[in-house]
Amino acid sequence: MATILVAEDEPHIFRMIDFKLRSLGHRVIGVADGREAVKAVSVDRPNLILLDVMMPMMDGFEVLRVLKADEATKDIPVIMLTAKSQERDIVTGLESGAADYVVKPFSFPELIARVNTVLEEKL
Amino acid sequence: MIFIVYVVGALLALVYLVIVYLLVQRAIRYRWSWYVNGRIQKFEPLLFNLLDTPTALGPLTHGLRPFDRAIIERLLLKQANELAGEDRDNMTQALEEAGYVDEMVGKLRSRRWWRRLEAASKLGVMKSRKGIPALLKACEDPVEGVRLAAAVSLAEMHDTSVLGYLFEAMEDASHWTPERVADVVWTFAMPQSRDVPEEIKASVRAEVRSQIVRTTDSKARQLYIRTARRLEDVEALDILCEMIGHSDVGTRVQAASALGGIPDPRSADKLIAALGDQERVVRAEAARSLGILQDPRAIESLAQCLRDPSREVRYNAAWAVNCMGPAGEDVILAAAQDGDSLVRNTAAQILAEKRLGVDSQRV
Repeated sequence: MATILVAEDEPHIFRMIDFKLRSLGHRVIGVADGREAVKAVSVDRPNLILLDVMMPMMDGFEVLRVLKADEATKDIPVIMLTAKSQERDIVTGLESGAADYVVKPFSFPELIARVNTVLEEKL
Repeated sequence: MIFIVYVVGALLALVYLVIVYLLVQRAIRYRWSWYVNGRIQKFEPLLFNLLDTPTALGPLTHGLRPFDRAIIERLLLKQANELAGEDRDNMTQALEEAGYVDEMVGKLRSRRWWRRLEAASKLGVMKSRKGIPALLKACEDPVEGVRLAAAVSLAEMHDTSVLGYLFEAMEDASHWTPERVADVVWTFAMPQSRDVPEEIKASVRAEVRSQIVRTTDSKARQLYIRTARRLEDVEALDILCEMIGHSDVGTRVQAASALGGIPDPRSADKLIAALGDQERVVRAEAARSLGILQDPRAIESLAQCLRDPSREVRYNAAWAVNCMGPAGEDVILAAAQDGDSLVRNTAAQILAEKRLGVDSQRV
C-alpha cells in the first residue's frame, strides 16, 4: 500500500483515478492545482505523484521543477498525465525528471501497470 | 394625469413581474443543480464499477427517477471520452447494454433535425458498431449539419465505408460545404492520431492522391491538395511536382504550399522554378515554402525576388532568405543597403520583425 498524490484539476478524472487506486489499497491525496500540489508534497511526502500537465496556478512542469530542485522531494517519482495533443511535452517532462508518462485519454490497466512499475523501482 | 398614473403603474408592475421571474428562475436552477449533483454522486461509483464489469448495470437501469437516464447517459459519455483501450470498449458495451445506443439510432429517424444532429454526434462518442448502418443512412440526411455529424462519427469509429460519401461530397458544392468535408477526411487520417490504424491512414492518403489526379473540378482539386498537405503525405511528391505546373492558378498555389511540407530536393527544385511563375500568388507561395524548407540552393533565386513588382512576393522572399542561416542573413543585410527603396524597405521590415521576435509566416 502506497501514498499517492494525484494532482488533477478535472474533477471527474480525479474521482475515477481516486476510485481505482483506493480499490487497489493505496492511500490517495487529491489536489486540483499546482500550488496545492507543492504544498501537499512537502506535508505528506507521498510515495508517488501523478501529475497533470495542464493545471491552474502552476502547471505540471513548473511543479516538477520545484520538486526536483528541493532535496527533500527530488527523489519522489513522478508520472506525468498529458493530453494527446501535447505529446511533445512528454520529452520535456522526461528531461525534467519525470519517471514516466501517461497520455490522456488513458486506460486504467496501463496506468496501474506504470504506477506499479514505478513503485517497485522505488522500493 | 390619470393616464400617466396608469402607465407608471403598469411599468412598475412589469418591473416587479420581471424581478419575480428572475428570482424564481434562479431558485429553480439552483434547486435543479443541487438535485442533479446529488444524483451524480449516487451514480458515479456505479459507473466506475463498469470499468471492470460493463454488464453490472442493475442499479443504472432499474428504479430510476425521471431525468435519471439523461444524467446517466451524460456521465457515461463523459467517462467514455476520458478513457482508452479496454476501458473505452467497456463503456461502449455498457452503453449498448443499457439501451442508449438503440435510443440514439431511433433518434436518427426523428422529424426534428436538431435531435438527429444530437443523435449522430452522440453515436460517435459511443463508438458502437451497431450505430454504423444508421449513421451511413444519416450521411444522406437533408440537413448538412446532420450529414457532417454522421460522417465525423463514422470517422471516429474508423469506418471506411463513409469515405465514398466524403469524396463525392467534396465535389458536390450544391449539397455540401467542401471545406468542412475536407476537415472530416483529415479527421480520418490525421498524422498525430494514435487510434487510427496505419493501414487506414495510408489508404485515405492514397485515395486523396488519386483524387488529385482524377478530378476535373478545380476547387475540389485544390481541396484535395490542401488535405494531402494536412495529412503530411510525402508520397504525394510526384503528383505535387506535376500539379505545380498545372494550368489552374489555384492548383499551382496549393501545390506550392504543399511542397513546403515535403523536405526533398525535388520540392525545392520545383519551387525555385515556380519563383518565375507569371502569377504573383504562386510566386509568393513558392517563396514562403522555400523558407520553410530552408534549402540554401534557393538563396540566389529568392534574392532576385526581392525586386519583384509584388509586395507580397518581395516580403515572402525576404522572410525565406532570412530563414537560410548566416548566408541568408548576409543577403538581407546587403539588401538593407540596396539602392532600390522597395528592396531596402522589405529587408528593413524583416530585420525589424526579427529584432522584435515576430515570425509572421510560421503557423
